[in-house]
Amino acid sequence: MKKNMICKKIASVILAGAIVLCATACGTGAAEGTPADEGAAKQEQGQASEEKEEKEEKGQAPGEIEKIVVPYMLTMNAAEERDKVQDAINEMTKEKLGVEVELLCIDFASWSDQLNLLLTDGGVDLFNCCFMSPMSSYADSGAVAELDGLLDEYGQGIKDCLGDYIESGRVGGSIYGLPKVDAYSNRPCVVMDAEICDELGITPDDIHNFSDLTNVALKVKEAYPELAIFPTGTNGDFLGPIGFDPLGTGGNNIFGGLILADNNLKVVNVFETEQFEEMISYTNEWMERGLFVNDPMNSQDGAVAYLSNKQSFCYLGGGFDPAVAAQVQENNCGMRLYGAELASVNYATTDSVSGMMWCISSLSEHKEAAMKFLNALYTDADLANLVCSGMEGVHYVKNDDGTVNFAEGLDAFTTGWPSGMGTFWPNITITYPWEPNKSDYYESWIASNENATLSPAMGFTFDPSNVTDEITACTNVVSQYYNTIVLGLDDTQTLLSQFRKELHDVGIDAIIEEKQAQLDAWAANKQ
Amino acid sequence: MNMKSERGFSNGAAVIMVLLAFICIFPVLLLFMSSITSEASLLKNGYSVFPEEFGFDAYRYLWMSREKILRAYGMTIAQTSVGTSLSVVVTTLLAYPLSRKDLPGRNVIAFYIFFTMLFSGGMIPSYMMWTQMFHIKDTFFALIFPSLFLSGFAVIMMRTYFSTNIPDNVLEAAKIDGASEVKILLRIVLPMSKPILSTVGLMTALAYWNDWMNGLYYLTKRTDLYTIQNLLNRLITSADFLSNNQANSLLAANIQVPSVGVRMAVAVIAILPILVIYPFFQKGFVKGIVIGGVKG
Repeated sequence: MKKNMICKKIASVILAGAIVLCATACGTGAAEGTPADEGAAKQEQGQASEEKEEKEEKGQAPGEIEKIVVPYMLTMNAAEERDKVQDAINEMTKEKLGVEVELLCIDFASWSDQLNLLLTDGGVDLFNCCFMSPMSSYADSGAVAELDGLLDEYGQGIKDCLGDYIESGRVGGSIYGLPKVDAYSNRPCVVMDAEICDELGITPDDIHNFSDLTNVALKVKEAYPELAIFPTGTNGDFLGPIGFDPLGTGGNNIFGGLILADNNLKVVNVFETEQFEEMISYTNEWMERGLFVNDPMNSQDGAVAYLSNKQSFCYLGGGFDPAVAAQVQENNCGMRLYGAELASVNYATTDSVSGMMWCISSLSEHKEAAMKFLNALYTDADLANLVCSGMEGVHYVKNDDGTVNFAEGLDAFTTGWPSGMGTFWPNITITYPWEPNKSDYYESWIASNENATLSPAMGFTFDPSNVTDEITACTNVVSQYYNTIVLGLDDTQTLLSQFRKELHDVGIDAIIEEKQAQLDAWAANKQ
Repeated sequence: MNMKSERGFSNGAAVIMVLLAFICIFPVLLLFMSSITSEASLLKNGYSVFPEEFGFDAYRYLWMSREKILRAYGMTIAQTSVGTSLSVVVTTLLAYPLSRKDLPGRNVIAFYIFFTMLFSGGMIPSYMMWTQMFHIKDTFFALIFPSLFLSGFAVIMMRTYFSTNIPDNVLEAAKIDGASEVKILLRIVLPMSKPILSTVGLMTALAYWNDWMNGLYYLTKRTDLYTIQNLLNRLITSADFLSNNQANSLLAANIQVPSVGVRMAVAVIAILPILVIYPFFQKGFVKGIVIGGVKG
């Protein structure tokens, strides 16, 4: 009997609990409606009515206004005034292009997962293929559409904007992605704490290569024995000065590529080059002299963080102009910085051009509309300003010198439209530069492109599908040895020969051969 | 003699248990201390229980999103309570018939459930099923349904408990007394199965509490439905993104994002409630696992 009573009680409590929870769960949306909630609700209503409109329009004049979905990546700022900006965009595009745009704001945290899923059910039309798999793999799997025909018909502006750099989006015979307008080339550089440099009489002109940098580093170490000189970060930092073209593999596959200084089409094993040996002789010396941060193997956090927290003297990076690289970081680090070059030539490779590619989903039902809108993003300054910076007077105000800054009372967190992500969009160079950049900031980008030295394999993108197993195996070997060798934590010479041997054993030669074969075929086709 | 050896044993056991407890507590302590260490000394010295310099930048960064964090906590609590209640009900209703020997084809069904423990449909097919057939995308149900039926392990565990701990005689007796099947389940079987119910409940609740995949995949526009795990994931990756890609962005404000410390602070915030409620479940949890496990 007693048991029955208890059971009844438990059952009723569970039931009551479930009902109450269900009710509250359903109720929260309506009862505690925060602004975001209302926005979402409105947005849904808006969509519903838009869908109706679309249907009606289809009844009368099919395809008059086509609606496309364009995802936008968010970091930190939640783009609370998305609807406003979207309306402003549509006001422009509906009339001029007959295109209506829905901006789909997705957090950086879920960007790659969500986009990959949206690509499977046609949830997006036009998107920036960044922070995802390399564009070529989407081209291989048929997830993105061929753009050649669309470009001829609607994309004249894009072709004019990109010139020869358009080739970097070619996979096989067709163009699948369009690079954004950017400073495409870069050279390795070092960004240093300016206070220390001034104090010790170091100027950026003192440094042109690793040997100069080592001298400067030792000088700083002498004056500041407690301070670490070099933070450790990603593998690429030290490979930069080698001047190496990994042939359009998105940085995942550094096995085999061109030594840019040789200016030929011979694919080599980068780990067996003189340049690599020279590089590790420097980094090993740095380690010996205690120039790295404590426990470098486990300090793989962003190198910039060390500098901004005054835990290192400099970091190694890249940029089209060392001075600009330093200047950009100044805003973020809140300190004065100098930038110096570690090599004198700006190289442009497929990799440096194709960091952010704009693609059209192959499941899109509005490919023409997407291309029309994309063309406008490349060429229409008003539209570009709108997506990059928001609405004038609402999100930004113009200064007298042609730059812009936040509208009064706003900052990067409180503004309703993210302002720091303009480089996401196809063409930021036709927009107003933000303070504290100079008004001719973007002109220097374009100028750098004209002075860049193109890699002989510029435009070639390697298709890794035949050698994926070898690439995985080699990646494992590299992660086993690379940092130990570069940092000289053990007997470098022995490890290096072991490392090379093991790479051969797991098939780096097959990768190099495959790269060479594809490259030769590409070169033959080009002529 | 006997007394003495028992005392020796209990002293030895105490020492070992203290050591084990320390091993368990140390990471949590380190986590907490790292979260209140300044970014600069984290970068210089790494994580340490005795920080050189305290700093609360990480919590300050999270404080900027406090409204969202509170809201996300609400979503997590709603998701966990609704999801757990539904899941326990579904699991029980599936496990109980399977434990009855008079169910025709029970081996086939049991194998079918077992099979899902080994092989799943994969992410993209299930995404397409949930979004195109059930249209749960951007709704609250997206947080509940995809993980509702997935715990084949819990079903099997519960079935084993039912079939080993509830004698057939009891069921027969109830039947003879005129109880219906529903009545047998509610009045006889469930009261005898409290340990397993609270074990499965706790496991499901933990799974729902820690779940972030559903939010990641199925919430595109309604980020106001984000659970605490999704939100914290978003805050961490944003902090990482900003500290690594500053050259790429033009955030014209002196934003110092403490990416290393934030990871720790986020983890502290995420585990805090679990630490608080765990002791209340612990009794049933241990009992359920022991009984269900040993005899199963």
